[in-house]
Amino acid sequence: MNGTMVGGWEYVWAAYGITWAALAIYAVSLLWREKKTRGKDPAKLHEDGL
Amino acid sequence: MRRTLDLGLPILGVLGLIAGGVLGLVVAPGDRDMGDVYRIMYVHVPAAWAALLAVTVTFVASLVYLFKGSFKADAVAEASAEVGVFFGALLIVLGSIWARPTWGVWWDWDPRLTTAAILLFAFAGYLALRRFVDDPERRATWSAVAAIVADADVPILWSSVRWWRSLHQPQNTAASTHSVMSESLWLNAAAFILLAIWFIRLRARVAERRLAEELAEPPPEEAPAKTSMRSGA
Repeated sequence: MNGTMVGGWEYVWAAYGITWAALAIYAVSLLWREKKTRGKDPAKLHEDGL
Repeated sequence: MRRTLDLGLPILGVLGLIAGGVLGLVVAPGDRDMGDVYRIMYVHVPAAWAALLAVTVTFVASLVYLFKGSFKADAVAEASAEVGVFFGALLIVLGSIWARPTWGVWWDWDPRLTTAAILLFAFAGYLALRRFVDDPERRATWSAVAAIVADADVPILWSSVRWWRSLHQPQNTAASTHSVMSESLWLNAAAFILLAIWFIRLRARVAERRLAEELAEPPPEEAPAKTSMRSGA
């Protein structure tokens, strides 16, 4: 017994799995929203002096 | 330049995540006390840094809006706040998964965890506030003030492990860790930061376009004159 925790890989895999899944889902959601708003010209902001 | 960043940030971010994953899960040695469970650090700490970066961008963009009245800055503030909430939620979930095997609990009202939860809920509230206010100018002003107030939690969160006797371990230094551990952490952190910047850019574009659409909308027609109560009776 050297005081080092043994095992725990299930927590490690859960953490990495959640991280990769969350990053992928959020990226897809942003790309989808970006695509949906394409065509709404942000140049209007600058025309209005904003 | 825009196209280079649009492609470069996600590609470098994903490559960094893959390389960081291999280094963190395979190459880096186990921790003296926590064994392999400590490997959660390679995603937990970068999530924290990405969240703090995002809410700091919100702070700066909010100040810019208040001083210059720039709606572009307001769009960046909205975008970075959402990205901050995303990484903040991820941070808390990962911390909770790490806490269970090491502390024996999923959650503890430790100063570091409590200030992280306050930051997450403050910025979730910020996003809710933005949804409730229709007038773009009023929304931008109120939410800029709210963001600046919410950001007061950032230095408290950062210093909490030094200010109070805390269950949460203090920040490690390169001197106290194996060099591969530091390299794995920095590589994962770089990947998270690149992805956070890409997320903020994409989300800011969405916010700008929505705002442009809002500003282009014709003013609502005047409501028809109300008939008197007596004539309607």
